[in-house]
Amino acid sequence: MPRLVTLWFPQWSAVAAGVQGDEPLVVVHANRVVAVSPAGEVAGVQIGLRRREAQARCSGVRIVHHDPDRDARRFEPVVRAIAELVPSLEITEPGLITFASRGPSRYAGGDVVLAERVVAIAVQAFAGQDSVGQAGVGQHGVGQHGVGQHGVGQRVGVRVAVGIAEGRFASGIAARRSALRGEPCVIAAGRAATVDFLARFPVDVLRDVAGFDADFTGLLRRLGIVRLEQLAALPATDILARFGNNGIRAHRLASGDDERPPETHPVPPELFAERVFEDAVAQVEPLVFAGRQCAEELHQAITARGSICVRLVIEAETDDGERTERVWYQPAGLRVATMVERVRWQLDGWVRQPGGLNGGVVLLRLTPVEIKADDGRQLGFWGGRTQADEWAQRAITRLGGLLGPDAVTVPVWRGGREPSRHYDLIPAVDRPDPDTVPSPVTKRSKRIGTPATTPGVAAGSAASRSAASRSAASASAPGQAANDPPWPGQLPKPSPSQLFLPAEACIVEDDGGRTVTVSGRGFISGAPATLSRNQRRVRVAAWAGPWPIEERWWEAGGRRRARFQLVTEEGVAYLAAVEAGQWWLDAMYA
Amino acid sequence: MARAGVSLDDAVRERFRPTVMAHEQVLPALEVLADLLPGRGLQRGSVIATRGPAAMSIGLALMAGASAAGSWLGVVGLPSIGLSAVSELGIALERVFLVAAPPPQRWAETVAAVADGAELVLARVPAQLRASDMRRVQSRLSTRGTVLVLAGLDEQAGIQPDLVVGTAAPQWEGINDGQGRLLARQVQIEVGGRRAGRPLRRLLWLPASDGSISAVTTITASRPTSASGGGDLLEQAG
Repeated sequence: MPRLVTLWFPQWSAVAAGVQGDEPLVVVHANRVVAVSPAGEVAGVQIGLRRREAQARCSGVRIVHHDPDRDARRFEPVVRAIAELVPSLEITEPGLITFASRGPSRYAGGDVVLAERVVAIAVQAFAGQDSVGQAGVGQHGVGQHGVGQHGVGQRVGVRVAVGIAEGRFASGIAARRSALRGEPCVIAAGRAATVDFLARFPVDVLRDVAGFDADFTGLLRRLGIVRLEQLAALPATDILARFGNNGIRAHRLASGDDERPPETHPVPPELFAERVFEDAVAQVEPLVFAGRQCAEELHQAITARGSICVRLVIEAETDDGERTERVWYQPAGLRVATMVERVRWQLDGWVRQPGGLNGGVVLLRLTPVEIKADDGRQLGFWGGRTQADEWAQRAITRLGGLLGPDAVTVPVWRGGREPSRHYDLIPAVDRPDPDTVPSPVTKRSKRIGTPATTPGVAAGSAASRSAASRSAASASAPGQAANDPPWPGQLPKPSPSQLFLPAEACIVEDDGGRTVTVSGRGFISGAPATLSRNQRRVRVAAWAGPWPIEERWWEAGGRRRARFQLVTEEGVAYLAAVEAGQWWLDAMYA
Repeated sequence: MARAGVSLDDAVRERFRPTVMAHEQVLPALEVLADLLPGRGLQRGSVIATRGPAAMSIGLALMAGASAAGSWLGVVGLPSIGLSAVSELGIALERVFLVAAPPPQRWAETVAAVADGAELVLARVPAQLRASDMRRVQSRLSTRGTVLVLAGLDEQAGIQPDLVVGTAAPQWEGINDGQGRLLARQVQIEVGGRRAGRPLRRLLWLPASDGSISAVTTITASRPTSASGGGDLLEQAG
C-alpha cells in the first residue's frame, strides 16, 4: 500500500477569506458556518452553527460569504510551490493535497524532514502571495498557528497540518491529528503500525475522513462498536450480511486496508477529451465553457461503462509553451459539475499567477486516470436514489445550459416572518454534487447546507439524508420546515399560495370611505369595509388583525407595520399590511 | 445519438404497449381527489388546467399524491409561488425545482426539457403561445408520461386541456370581523374537460383546519354557510 502524505490546511475557507491577525471570522454558506478562524474557534464558534448563533457567541465576528472560487484561487500559489518539490500531487479540494511520500521523502531525507519542509514551503508560498499584494493575512503576527518550527509559520495566520501514513484513510487521520497537536504526524511504515494507529480512533472518523454518512457511524455506535479496532475485529462476512457493501468498505478501512486499489479499473488510453483552439484563448470563461463540453463528453463515455471518474488530470497549454497540469481526486467521483469546477479553479489560478501568461491557451485536455465502478448511483435497490431523481438531475443540468445557470433553483428553508422569506432559492446548477463535494477531512464543513443545492441527491442518497439529519434539519432539507422550531411572529398556517413580489399597493377603506389606519398602540381607526385593487373596489366580507410587526427596530432601516388578513365578498383571501398609512397586498390565498 | 435512443425507446414502448397496466398510466392522486379523476389519478401525458379563485391550491393538491410517491415537480415561470403553501398542500419540497420564466419563444422548449426530468410540471402559459408550440409540448408529455398542470389558465386559444378543474364559491372559516384568522376554506370543485366524463362536483376543505385536504361531509355541505360564521362547522369538519 502506498505511503501517502496528506497536507491539510484546516479552515482553509477562512484563511482564503483573508483573516486578519487574530480577528474572529466565519465563512458562511446558506446561513451556516462552514469555516471559522482560530480566534472564532476560541470564542466557541463551531462549524454548522447558524449565522446568528455564531454572532451570539462571538459578537464582533466578521462574516464572509463562502466563495469556492476564492478558496481555489488563493490555494493555487501554494500548490504551485509544493509542486516544485513534489511533481505528482493530487488536489482533493482547495486546502487538501495528497501525494505519495516515496520519492520526495528519499529526496528530502526522511518522512519527518519531508513533512517539515512541506510545511515550510506551504507557509512561505502563502506569505509570499501576501507580499505580492493580495489582500489578506497581514504582517501582524498571529502567533502559534504555523505548525512548522520556521519563523514564517509563526507570523502568518495559516495553519498547516501534515500527516504521513500508509493509505489515504490513515494519512487523512494523521493529518487531523497533526492539526490538533500542532506538529506533523508521521506514522511508522508497515501494516501493523497502521492498524495500531487506527485502532484507538472512534468510528466517527469514518464519517469525517472517509465520507461515510452519520447514520452509519451512529448505528455502529448504538450497536456498541465505538472504536475502529472493534469494527476490525468483527468477521467480514457478518459485516457484509448486516451492512452490505458500505459495511465492507468501512471494515476494510478499519483493518488498515485502503479502499482504493480493489475498486479501480484500468483506464483505456483512448478515454480523454480535449479541445485544440486554432486561435489562442486568453480569457478563462471560454475555456471553462470548452471544459464543460469536454467534461460532458467524458462523463458520458465513462458512465456508459458503468463507471465514474475518481482521479482526473486537467492539462492546459499556451502557444508559448507554458503548461499547467494538475491531478484532481475525489473519492466519491467527479461528475460534470465537479469537473467543470476543477477546470475553473485550475485555470483561474494559472491565468492569474504573478506575471500572468505569455500567450493564449491553445490546448485543454481532461484525462481520467482512475475510474471506479459507479456504485453510488445505481438505481435505488436498497431505497437509495431512484430513476426519477436521476432524470430530474439531468433535466436540471440541461435547463441550466438552456437558460443560464441561475435560472434553475431549488428551495431551501430559511425561516422568517414574511412568507416571501421562508425559503431561499438556491441555484441548482453548477454546484458540486453534495456527495462528491465532501472529501476527507473537511467533509463536515462542506456538507452542511449544501445538500439541497442538488436535489437529485438530496432526495436519494443516504449520504445527504444523513447530512440533513445532522445539520439539525433546517437549512439542508426543505421538507423539514415543519420540524423546525417555531419562528416568532410567523404567519399561522395555512400559508398564502401566491405572493406579490414586490407588494402591491392597494387602498382599504372603512364604511365612511376613509382609509383605515392603525395607531402606534395598535388601535384601528375603523373596520375595513372595501378593498380597492387595480381600480376595482370589492367589499371586505371578513377580516382579522391588526397584528403589529416590528422588524429590525434596532437599526435605521427597521420597519413597523400592521398585518391583516382580508377576505373579500367573493371569498378571495389576501394577506395585507399597512405601513405609515399605505396599504400593501403581500400575498393571496389562491 | 440521443435521437436514436429515443426512437428505439419508442419502438420498444410500441411493442410492449399491450402489457402496460392501466395503473401504470396514471400518477397517484390523493384519495379524496381520486374519485373525481378519470382513472382515479393523473393520466400520464395529460394537460390539466385549473381555474377559479383557488386555482393554485387545487393544482398543487392534485399533484400532492404523486409528489409524495416520489415524483419530481418542476415549476416553470411562477417565481412568486408561496413555497410554504406548496409544502403544506403536500408537495415534497426536496423534489421540487423552479425554473425562471423563459422568453415566450422558448417556453415550449423549456417545458419540454422540464418534462424530461420531472413527472409533474406546474407552469403558467405565456399570453401568445403558438398552437404548434403547445402541440410540441403535448407530444413530449405523452412520450415521457409527464403531467402538466396549468394553474389559473383561463380560456386561451390553442390550448385544449384534457382536464379542467374549476374552483368556485370559496368560503373561509375561522375569520370574523376583526377576530380569529384564516383557518380553513371550503371550495366547490368541478372536474370537466374533454377527457373527463360528465362533469363531477364536490365540496372540499382546501385546506381543512388541520391542514389536510378532505371532503366536506354532506351535513356540513347542505347547511347554508357564511364566510363569517363558521364556528360549529369547524367542529364538524375537524
